[in-house]
Amino acid sequence: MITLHDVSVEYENLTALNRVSVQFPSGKISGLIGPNGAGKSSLLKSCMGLIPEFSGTIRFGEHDLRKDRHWIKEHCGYAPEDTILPSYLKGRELLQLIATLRQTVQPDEEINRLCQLLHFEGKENELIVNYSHGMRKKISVGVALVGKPDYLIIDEALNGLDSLALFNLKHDLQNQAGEGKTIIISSHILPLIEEWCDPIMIMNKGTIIQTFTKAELHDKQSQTKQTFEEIFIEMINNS
Amino acid sequence: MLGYLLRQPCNAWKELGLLHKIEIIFLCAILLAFFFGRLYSLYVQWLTSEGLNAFLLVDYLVQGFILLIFINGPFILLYLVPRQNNIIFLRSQPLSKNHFFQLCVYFYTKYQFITIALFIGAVLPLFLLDPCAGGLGLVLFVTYYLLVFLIQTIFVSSRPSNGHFLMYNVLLLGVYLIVLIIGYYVFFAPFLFTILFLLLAGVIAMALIKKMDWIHPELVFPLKSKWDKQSVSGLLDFTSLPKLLPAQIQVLFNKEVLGLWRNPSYRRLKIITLVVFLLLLLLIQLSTLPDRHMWMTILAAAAIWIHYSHYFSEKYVQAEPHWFMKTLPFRFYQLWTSKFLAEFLFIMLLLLCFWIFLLASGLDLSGQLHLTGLFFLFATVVLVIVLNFQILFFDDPRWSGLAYHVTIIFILFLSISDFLVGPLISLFLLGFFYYKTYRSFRT
Repeated sequence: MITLHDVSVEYENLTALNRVSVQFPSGKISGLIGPNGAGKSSLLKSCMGLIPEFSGTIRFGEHDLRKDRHWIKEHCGYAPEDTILPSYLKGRELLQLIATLRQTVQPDEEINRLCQLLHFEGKENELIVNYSHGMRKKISVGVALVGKPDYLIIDEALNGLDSLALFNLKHDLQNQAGEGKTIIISSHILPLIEEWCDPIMIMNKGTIIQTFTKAELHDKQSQTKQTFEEIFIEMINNS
Repeated sequence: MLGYLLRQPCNAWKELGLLHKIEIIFLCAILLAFFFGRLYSLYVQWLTSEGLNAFLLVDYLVQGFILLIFINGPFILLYLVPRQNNIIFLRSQPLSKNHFFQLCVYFYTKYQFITIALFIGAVLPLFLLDPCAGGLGLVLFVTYYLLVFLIQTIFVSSRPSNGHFLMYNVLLLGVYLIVLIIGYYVFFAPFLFTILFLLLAGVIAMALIKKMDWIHPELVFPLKSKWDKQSVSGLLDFTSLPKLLPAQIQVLFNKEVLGLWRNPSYRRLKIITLVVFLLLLLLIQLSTLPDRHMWMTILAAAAIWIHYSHYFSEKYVQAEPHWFMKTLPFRFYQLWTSKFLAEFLFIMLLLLCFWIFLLASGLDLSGQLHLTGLFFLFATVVLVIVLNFQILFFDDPRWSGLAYHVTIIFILFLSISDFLVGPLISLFLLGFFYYKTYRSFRT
């Protein structure tokens, strides 16, 4: 479980996160949605220590982010929204590097599994500099998945993945959640969040304005006869 | 267009905190004061004892710097301007002739900025000695600069090929030098003739610009694929590198070596550095300079300094991604050691070449040890500074490069100006930067 308590992030003239307190449960895929500038990436970056200047506390299970950075790095995979990767490594080499750093058991099997999962077999021995945008996204997600970390944070990294990779990934993440891992996905693709995630958290203006479990969302949809998209837009407009 | 382009550096300056601004102003003031003092006394010496007058001195300065701009210009227009992100973005827009020239003048001046700043620094002491000569120098420089820019831009926008463009420039430079020499030796009024020549060329260029409708921005700003034909070496492999280190340092070392040596620009940089380094040493070896060994050491050190300044350009060394530095489980010493080892072999190679030249020059053993040790110390200090700033400003190579140059200059001044305390302060500074880098990595 990842627990945030009273977390605030302020840039010079902007409050990116405003006293956010939330729990991302273990064994679930939590979804985070919100308009641009809502604070999703700031929240996830704070969780990864990419924004060190935050107030409040962030805990991964019993481990405090500020005190146990190295432990968290060892147990957490992160796929960022940008795809800045070492251009002159091959896809497989990058995965090997990450597998060694995470001290993954049987790294070659793990890399083969990921290549199959993300559907880039045959491409893994090409240099990243020659990859398309979609391939870069895949390798970026692959980096986060290496070694099946206990915590997985995917920050808008699924946009651009092809249907086959998404299909495989969905099942893999569901399996991992079944094994008790904590998974957070942030995305603008509402159908993906609706289908994959439970609970779903809606963010706007630096706060979480609503949290739905899948059942609660279905109830709301049947009561109001609205789609998830309509509910989402209404909430954003009213917040 | 020019206004929008200029807003970028203005906005970048506004973004800086007060402390950063004060630091930059303070460092610039120190450098300026240092050079001003040295140059002033040098000029006074030349003007009193060498029989120079202020106007001739100004002319030498202007001609020297314009020659530099003449030589820099084609490479800036050919290789640096098209690679600008703004150009890549704007080339899909309908650019008018005006927009095209504004873009060129902005990026051309951006890369000539150091030359311009050096010229201003060199001419400033003359304002104290003879304001009239100083003023004339500035006016002449600006006129020459604009003319050279105009002519080179016309060349680049109308060339059939890069070879033709370089040939035009060599021809122009040749004619310019002939006019300069004739002016100097025959009529004793060099700048009169060169400026007349350039004015004539400039007028022709202006007339051409007005008449022509053949400026094709796509020729000057070619598609990325046109200039980005890089041969990426796939020969190196993870498995082909020797495994001598602990697993985590080994993979980081492999990443460094492969990331660097597979980059064609980096390979080219290494080869050029090695060739220039050897040529410099050879030339000094063959020369009859009185202090050959000292010059060898100074030039070898300068070559190292310039070589590693390229490490802050993403063309040669990729910046580390944020996620890589901050979310992966490796230790500071592992990263630092891997980066150090990846570069250290090259330093050792240069050191070996340097030592062979010293040996060939017939220097005695203690002299060899002394100079090789000095060179080794300098090269290691440079490498340590490079690595620290690369890690400290991993997401901002420009800041990192600026910090690198300022630190080297600062440490050199300290060590040269005060042999007793200077090196100690330098050592303290190195330790301090290392600690700051470590703290920043841990944060």
